[in-house]
Amino acid sequence: MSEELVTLTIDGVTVRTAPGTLLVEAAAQAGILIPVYCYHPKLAPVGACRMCLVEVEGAPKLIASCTTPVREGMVVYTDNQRVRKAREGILEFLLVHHPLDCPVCDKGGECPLQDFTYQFGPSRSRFRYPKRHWDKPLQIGPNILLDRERCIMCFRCVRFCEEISHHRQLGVFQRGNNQEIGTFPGQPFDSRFAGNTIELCPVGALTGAPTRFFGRTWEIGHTPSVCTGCSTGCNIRVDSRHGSEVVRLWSRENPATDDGWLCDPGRFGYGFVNDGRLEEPLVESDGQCVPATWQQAIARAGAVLEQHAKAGTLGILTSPRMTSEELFSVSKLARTVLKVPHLDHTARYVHPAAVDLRAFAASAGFTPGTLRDIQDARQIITIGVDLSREQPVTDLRVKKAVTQKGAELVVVDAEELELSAFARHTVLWQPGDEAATVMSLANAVASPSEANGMQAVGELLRQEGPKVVLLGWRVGESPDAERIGESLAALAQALGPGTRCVTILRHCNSRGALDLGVHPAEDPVSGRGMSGEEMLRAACEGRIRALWLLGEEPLQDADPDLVRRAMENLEALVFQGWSLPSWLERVPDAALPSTTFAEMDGTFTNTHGRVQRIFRAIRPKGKSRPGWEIVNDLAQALGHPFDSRTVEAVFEEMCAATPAYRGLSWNSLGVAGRESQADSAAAAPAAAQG
Amino acid sequence: MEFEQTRRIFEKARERFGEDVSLSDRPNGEGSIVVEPSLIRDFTRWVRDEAEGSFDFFGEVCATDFLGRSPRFDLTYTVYSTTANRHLHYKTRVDDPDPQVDSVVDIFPGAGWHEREIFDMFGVRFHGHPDLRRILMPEHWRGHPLRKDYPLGGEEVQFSSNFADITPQTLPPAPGEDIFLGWDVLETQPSSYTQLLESGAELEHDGEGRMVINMGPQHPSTHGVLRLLLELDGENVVKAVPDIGFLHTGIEKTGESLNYQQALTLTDRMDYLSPMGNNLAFSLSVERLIGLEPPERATILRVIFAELTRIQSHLVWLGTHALDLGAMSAFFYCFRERDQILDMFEMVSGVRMMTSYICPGGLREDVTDDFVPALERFLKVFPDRLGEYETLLTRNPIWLERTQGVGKISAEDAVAYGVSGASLRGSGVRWDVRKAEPYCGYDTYDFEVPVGTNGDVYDRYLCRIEEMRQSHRIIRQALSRLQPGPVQAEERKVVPPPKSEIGQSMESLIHHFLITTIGFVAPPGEGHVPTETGRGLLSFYIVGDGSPKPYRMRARTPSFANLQALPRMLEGCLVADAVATIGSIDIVLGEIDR
Repeated sequence: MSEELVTLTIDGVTVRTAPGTLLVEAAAQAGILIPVYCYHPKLAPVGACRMCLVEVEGAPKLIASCTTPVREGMVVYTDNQRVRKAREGILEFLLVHHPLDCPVCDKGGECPLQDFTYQFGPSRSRFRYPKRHWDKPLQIGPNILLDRERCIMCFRCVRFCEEISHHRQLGVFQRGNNQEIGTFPGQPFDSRFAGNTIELCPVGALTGAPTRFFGRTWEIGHTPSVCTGCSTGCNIRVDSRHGSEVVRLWSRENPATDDGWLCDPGRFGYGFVNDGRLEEPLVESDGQCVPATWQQAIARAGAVLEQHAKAGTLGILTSPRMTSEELFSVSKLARTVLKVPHLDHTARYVHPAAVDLRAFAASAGFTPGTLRDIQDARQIITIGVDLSREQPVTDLRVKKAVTQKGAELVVVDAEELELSAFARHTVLWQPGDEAATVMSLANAVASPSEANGMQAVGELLRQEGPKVVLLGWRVGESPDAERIGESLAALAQALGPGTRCVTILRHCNSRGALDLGVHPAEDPVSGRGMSGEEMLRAACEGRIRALWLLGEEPLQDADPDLVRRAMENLEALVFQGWSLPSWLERVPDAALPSTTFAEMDGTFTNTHGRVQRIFRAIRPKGKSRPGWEIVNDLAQALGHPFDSRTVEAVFEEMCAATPAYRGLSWNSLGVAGRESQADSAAAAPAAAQG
Repeated sequence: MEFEQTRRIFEKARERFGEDVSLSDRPNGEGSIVVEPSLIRDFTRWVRDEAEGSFDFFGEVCATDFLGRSPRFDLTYTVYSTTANRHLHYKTRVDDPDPQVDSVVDIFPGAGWHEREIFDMFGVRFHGHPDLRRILMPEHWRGHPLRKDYPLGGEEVQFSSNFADITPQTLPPAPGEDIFLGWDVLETQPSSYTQLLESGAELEHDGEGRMVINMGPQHPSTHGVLRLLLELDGENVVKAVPDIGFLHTGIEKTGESLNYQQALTLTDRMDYLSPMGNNLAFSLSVERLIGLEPPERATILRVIFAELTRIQSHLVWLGTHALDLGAMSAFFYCFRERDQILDMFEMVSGVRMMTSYICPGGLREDVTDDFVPALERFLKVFPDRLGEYETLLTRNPIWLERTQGVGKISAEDAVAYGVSGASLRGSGVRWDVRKAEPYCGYDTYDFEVPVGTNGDVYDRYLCRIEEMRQSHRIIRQALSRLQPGPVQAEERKVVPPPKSEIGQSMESLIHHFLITTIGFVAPPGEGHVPTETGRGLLSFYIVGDGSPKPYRMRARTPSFANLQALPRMLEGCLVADAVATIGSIDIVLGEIDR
């Protein structure tokens, strides 16, 4: 960092800023707003819209402040007669062909064109001629509508596609009045990052198809929260209406997780909150599901759980998309009241040594890292994870590191991935051969002479770091995980100390589930509890006769045949969650409706260990209640009432009992979250001891 | 009041007080002199006695909470000179954690209630105030509502499900519970209220016939929800203590959360007998803040409506005042004419009373075609009708018995208490804001301002009757000047464009959209224009902050100040005289309590 700051004067205010700072940013630092359309801090400046023109002493013409770096002694005027006239003129031009769509345009009320026209633009129109028209709107992609008449040619959307997502699906066509944004023949705008252009577009030219006509911004409630689509933990803003319905999700920048972007599956994937919900408790009666009161449903559920817990035939599968408070309560009930060791958050096979992937990587010798470390890395290695599909926003971070910061990428996987196009090398392994391939790689890095055809990779990875390894969950699901672990240890050794590893988990609170011990634990009396997959097998054999299933995720990715047979064989099923899975072919003895992330307060822990708050945005649907409250009721029904009656109390209790969360307090989480203590991930959570 | 005038006074103040005074010139403001808090008494005395213009009339003191700034509170004093026809603002600033300043009650008795209100709403303490207790909020209220960190939504309601969790605000404090931020309120003398209650308790059984009774809050003759505690010696009033706040609806606080067009609708409901008067005062202050002039036709129509409002308000006053004293027929006659006026209001705005017709920028819409003929019909019949009322009352022996010599207040006392309107002029002080500090071109109309001599109920009655006559005269002149033209200023950043343009012009559509949904933006600064309504001096003090919402919307209302003087007028009178006196000061509780 250069200590030499540049000193300049903006509107009479002395500003000191780092050399290379753009004038528009320097003004912002001094609290002076310069209106912009094409400029965006995350995109390279182009100087296309001319809104940011300012007067600089000594220059004959006005200068675009978004493309001009500061210079020592510059004297700048952003609000004099000349600049005001220029702004008014630019806006007049922009409005010439702009359609009179405000009453029907989604952007109205949150539109920089409206706002700057009011603040800086003309009050009256001088344009008396016909405006140019286009067919509109065009659905250019599954999620995006394009209105060419509204476009003001700032090119932010095209630049986003070129510089950030690298899904080059938008282009600029024609010239002058007829210039338009468009897609390429045969290629819809189906990038999984397309939704970000809705936020970038300063007018209503690009709008969301699923969220069209969502309402007006002033009648919408805005609540900070966290996306539940994957384990990145992107910070979002939940926009809700009437306190009862989620109408859209918006980004909320957090450099620690999302870097300001969202992916489309996350952005548009909130339908499960509004529709298809389990709205009231159900109990089984004569082979049918009938509505019941909470009291009845709790009593019935409690009876099933108690009976089978005593007989040792109860298994508990809870979703890793539930909040940590919910998971903690379930775990507490399981260990201390029901005394059931069979507790897990997935029914996929996971190798026992790799149940906690972060601990697995730590024991291989990697230092736990955060997602933000990616963009400061010089070498990035992905092992067994396809970020583009499994953690899209992290994929953007890798692309940023490679294309903007000169990092080098090595992809290690079964086949060429989308990210391979950005990788210096792709190392392929055959299924079953993962351990050997990683070991070869480790050797290639450690000694140039043992390169085995991986000389170039090895040489690359020997260069000075920092280095970041991204390790995917599929590694833990390999039966060969133990040997892979040995290879990883060799790789860690070869890459050197200080190499960070970020383990990429599947679900938004998988990390939370692991931190809280929601996985088979050693029990002094009954030995090790069964994993989710073992529970299903045991159910097929009749050793597990009842299942308390929370959410559908644990069964969703398991072998469907296994699931079906297990369900058929069960005597009893207690379901708790926000909607009854459609593929569930048996009638649950009790179905307990619980709230989604949008309807309660709580926390999620993202893949690298950041604990982030969610805030209640809408009222619980129907009679649903937060999962931890339901568990409190069950505990009461079973004769062991819990003390913690508010979500904060549950949180405090949870942190006290969980080494990784020691030192966190509810009020300290704010809206951006706090990092937990990743280093203590290896310590066994106290809750597991019962 | 021009900035130059303020500056001249400031220069003199500088000579006297040195660096302890400075000049604050907010954009679009008339400027005010900022005084060190410790000097507020000396400065107030200097302003009253020595400053150029001799400011004898206390307008108001109000507070503004600039949360986040240190010092946190601005106290803005406004004083008027009834002789030099000008006014002056001066401020002082006090800070958390324990904001306090000296009271100026002994210099200007009219400051008494204003200081109490600031204590109530902001928690600023005034040393030396003889009766510093809450005035609008109930006695045991916790918190100070107009502070910026006090929520807009009020207290949670006690239901059976949360009964134990809520402390009702109106219950007395528990032993040891501190509801006044740790201050010892009893450092002041026992309040007149407490004295009254205690003396009433003592005297109840002493066989001398003294007692303390409630007049109100439910009472046909208090003209609203006013509670007067009367200490009586037989039929004679020994002492009267008004207790107000029953109609407090938080207008000033609510105004801070609405944009200017929305806040306008709150103003109708303050002095509900003079809705367009309130609209006018508010609109003028906002226009002063923004720097906007409505077109000429709008100004002339504003005068017409202001005077019609004055007539209509006086008619209600006359009808109810007479009714209180037993002259029941007057009520029906007065309301007959009033209805003609309300019909005219309905013609132009669709609403009989709460019109919000006069708005920043001009008028909501032009008058309809039936308005002028209706107005002419009214103007034709009104003088004779007014004559009829006079015939009923002015020489009526019973009326004379009930009103002459009753409820007297001297000119000095009236001015010192900040009494305005006919209540002041009845005592012989010729001060009417329309003449003293003209607005809307009042200086271009020929009209007289009637004054009385004795300051009793009768003289106030005569003043108002004559005022109606003069209003009629003004309306005639205004009507003759009316020319076709626009009724809204052409400033598209404040006044939305006509609907016809929205389908043609992009700029118009955008401006209409934003002004309608979010509201027009007012620059940082202050706007204050004093006006004369039927009750007296009404002015809004608006603080803008560059947003579409007023940062502070303070209403200085005539009835609030006039009521303060009531105990003085009631000293030694009979209970029946109290009825006459209350009617004669023509108070409207809506603007007292807001």
